[in-house]
Amino acid sequence: MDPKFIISNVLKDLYAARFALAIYLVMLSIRFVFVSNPFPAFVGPNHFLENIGNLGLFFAVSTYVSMFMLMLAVVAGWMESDNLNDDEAFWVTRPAREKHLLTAKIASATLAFVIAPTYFDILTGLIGGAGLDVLWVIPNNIWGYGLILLPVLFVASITPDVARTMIIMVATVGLTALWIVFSWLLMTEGLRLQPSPNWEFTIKLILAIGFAAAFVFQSLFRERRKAVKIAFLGVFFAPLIAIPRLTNHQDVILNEANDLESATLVPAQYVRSSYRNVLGIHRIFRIEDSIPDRVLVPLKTDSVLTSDRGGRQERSTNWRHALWSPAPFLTILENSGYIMANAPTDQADQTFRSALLAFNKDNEMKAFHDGASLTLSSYFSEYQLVSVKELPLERKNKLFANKILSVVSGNRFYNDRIDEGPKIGLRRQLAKVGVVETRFASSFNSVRSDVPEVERIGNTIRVYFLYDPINSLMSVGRPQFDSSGERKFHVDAGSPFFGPNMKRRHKLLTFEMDHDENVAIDRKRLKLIVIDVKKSGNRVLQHAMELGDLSEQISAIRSHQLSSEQNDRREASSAE
Amino acid sequence: MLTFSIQLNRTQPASEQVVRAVKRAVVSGQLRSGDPFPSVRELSRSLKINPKTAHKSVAALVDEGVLETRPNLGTQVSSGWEANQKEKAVLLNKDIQRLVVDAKLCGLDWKEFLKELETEWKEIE
Amino acid sequence: MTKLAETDQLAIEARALNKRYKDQDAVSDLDLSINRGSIYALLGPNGAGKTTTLKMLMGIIAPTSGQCSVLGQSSTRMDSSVYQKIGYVSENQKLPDWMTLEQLLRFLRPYYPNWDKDFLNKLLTEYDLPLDKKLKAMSRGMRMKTKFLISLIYYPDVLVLDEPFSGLDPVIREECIDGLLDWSQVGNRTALISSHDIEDVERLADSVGIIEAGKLELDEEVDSLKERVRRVSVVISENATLPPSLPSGWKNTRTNLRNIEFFDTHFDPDKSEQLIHAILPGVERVTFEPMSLREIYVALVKQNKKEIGGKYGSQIHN
Repeated sequence: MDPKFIISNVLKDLYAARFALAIYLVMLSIRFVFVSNPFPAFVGPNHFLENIGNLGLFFAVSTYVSMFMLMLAVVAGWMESDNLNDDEAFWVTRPAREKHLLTAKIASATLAFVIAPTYFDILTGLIGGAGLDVLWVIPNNIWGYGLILLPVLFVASITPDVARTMIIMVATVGLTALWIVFSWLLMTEGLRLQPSPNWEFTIKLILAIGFAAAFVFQSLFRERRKAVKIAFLGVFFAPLIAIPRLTNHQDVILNEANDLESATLVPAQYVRSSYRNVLGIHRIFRIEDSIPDRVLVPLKTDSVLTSDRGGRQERSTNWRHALWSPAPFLTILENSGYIMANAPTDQADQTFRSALLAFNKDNEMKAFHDGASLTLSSYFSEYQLVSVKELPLERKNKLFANKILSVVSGNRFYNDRIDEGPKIGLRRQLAKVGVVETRFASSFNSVRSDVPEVERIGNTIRVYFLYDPINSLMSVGRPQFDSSGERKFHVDAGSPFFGPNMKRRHKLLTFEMDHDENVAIDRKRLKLIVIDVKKSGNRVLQHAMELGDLSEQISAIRSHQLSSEQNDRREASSAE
Repeated sequence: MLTFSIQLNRTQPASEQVVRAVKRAVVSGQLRSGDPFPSVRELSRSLKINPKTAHKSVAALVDEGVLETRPNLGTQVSSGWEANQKEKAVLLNKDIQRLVVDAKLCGLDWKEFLKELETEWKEIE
Repeated sequence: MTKLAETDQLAIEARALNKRYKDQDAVSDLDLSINRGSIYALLGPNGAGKTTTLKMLMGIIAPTSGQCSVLGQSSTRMDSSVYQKIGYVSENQKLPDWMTLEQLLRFLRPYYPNWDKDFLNKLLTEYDLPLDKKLKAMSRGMRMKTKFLISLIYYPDVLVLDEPFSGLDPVIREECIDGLLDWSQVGNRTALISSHDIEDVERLADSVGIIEAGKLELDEEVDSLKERVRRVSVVISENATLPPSLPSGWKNTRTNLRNIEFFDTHFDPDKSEQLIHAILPGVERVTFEPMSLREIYVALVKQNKKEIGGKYGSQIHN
């Protein structure tokens, strides 16, 4: 195979699609701008509907969708322009034979739709300070885009025109999306389907069956050559389909869950900088080769039907307990720069449960819920901040621990989870996870109508309330903050402000965080918890520090307000 | 343009027709000894005939001494060739037959026919 | 005499070639040998199996059974090195329409080591093809010239042309033929041209094959074919009767009063007249007329078909 053939073909293809590719590059740049700057969150399917009016989100989503459609059209156009399946095609009697052309098409597609976005991702990573870790983008992008590109190439090679390729691909993607939306709607209606299918596995299964069917069909009714072509592609695909299976990629945690009694694994995730997330943390090829700077503690918060925001039922978090996976959106853009996957959280729950049981076993359950005994069932109907004591990860870990990550870093609680990907030359280092001592604030059981939102911009944390927590009569309770702390807060006296998602909020307070800290919120109890996670030798310790008690300050403000009001009245009356 | 006149018909092998046309051209004085003869390539292109056929005709003409190949000069009409009696007969056979039939159709008698022939002959000489 | 040694080698060969589509034989038991240096015309009506045969030879479709090869390489296993030495032009062939001729040439050039720039320039001038025009926008004649151009300029050893002249106006046809003749002058080049119109290829071809309903009915050099076939008119004395058996070389014998007409397919200038005198009674006058390829085709193939089962059907069928 002469590289000249390939180059000549690739140049031809790139030239043919120059306009579409120019548009694609513009879109890539737009995406680049989105990712490298704080931008309103792409919040994942469960929050999608309520954020539909969010312009940034709309922009981000439509860019992704258009990029996909463009890629589809360009690749299909390339395949069809040479009539790969036509015996009247110009090239069939030319030295450029099928394999050359196919290789050239793959090369063109790789150049335009893998290498170009990878370049932008690397730029993004470098700007985010990821250093050499930026290279993790490469295997992840090859994997990620390959899964999209190869079916397109395949479908285009056996369909006679661009239109049909587009129809098939859009229909496939559309049906998958419909299926996800449908299952998602079912879940929000509280229906639980068990056992849950796994979308990733299902799609791969459909692909595999599709290949087999196409092969059989072609060998039965058409030319043998086409069947060979399909078999060739099928063989190419097989590892893609099989690797996650072979490595227990999906079954890891469920296995663990069956082994609850002896479970000692605790999921943990390391993040050196926020951009490591972009680079590989939620991807199939992960960064595991170095001890990271930060451990994102396995926290579990915000589960099930949680709150009633201003009278509106908040059901959006239900899916976290559904056994169907959430939609296969890969990325979440949010203010802190994190990009996280919406991963199947039933497994995350299992992990969490195993962690709980591990505690239970160690007789440390009391650490959890304000002294009340926490049962699994109560766990599922509550939301918790849970953090975990230092646990020796003694097992000859056949698994890398999954994690649940709940971070109030944007305006949402996010869950993230890491699967164990293919172990391609990666050395695993498991951390020991430290304990966060947790004390819950005293009784604020009835503040549901006044759930705060927390926003993180850089290291600045802003807390918003739907109603002025100090002055509003609609607030059922008053926020109080217990314990004492050294942290400096700036307290706004409930000034109206546009908070996260452009919703009208009252900003209550602002404070600065260290880079190594994260903040979580116990909404039910209006409790902010700052987690300070630092590395300590081989062992990673973490601490959660509660915010200082603001009650004094608040009451000071209140008394000041009251006194000023009284003064006003006095002045008014004296004026009379 | 070729240096001799030829009108190919579809019935006889093209190579034979070329050979005959060249001989006729030599006999009628259209081609004279020393005249350059077109190359096989030119012949093939101008007549739109298979190069092999053209080659075959030229080879036959060289063989019979009508043409000769001179190094550096290409092919030319040779000096020594004179159509023998039999060949002349063959060359003329068809034409004479057609001539006679035409003459009869026109109503010429033998003497008139001879006279016409004589006039034409003298004109050419 | 080196040429002879080379022509011993076959440029194109097919042995017992069959192609079956569902219940229909497109090509059946076709044997074909084309010498190097030959221009071979494969004639036959539309749907006779010409295109199928050529496609099998070119390795575009696989034969149901039998073998074929081009330049000694089996057609089912052709690789780039063979395709570098083959040109294929077909009436229905699709071109990459979105390209200009210049782009197409630039794209093709790296594939062919024998790419001849001078020949290309010559052809471009002769064909008067615009380099910067999209192929899509070209007329049918220009497209055909383009197909010829891109198949000639790398001096392929073998050129396979499937109905190359059909529907072309005479000027363009002549231009295409000129290019073809230019190509065939250099070296020992082989062309296989299929056509349903004999006159297109009559003078180009040195050998001819006639295919009918998937079968090769005739395969011979044009000159020898023309030499051996004559239309014979015999005038005999009154009340002559035909003898019960006639030589098998006499085809399509017809009588009308004192005239007998037939095609003598084994004509020999020295013997045929004597043979006629010996067989037919009271021969007064015999005329032999040479026939054009079209007439021969009609005489040998078409008439046979019509007359199968007729008076001399069994003889003709031999």
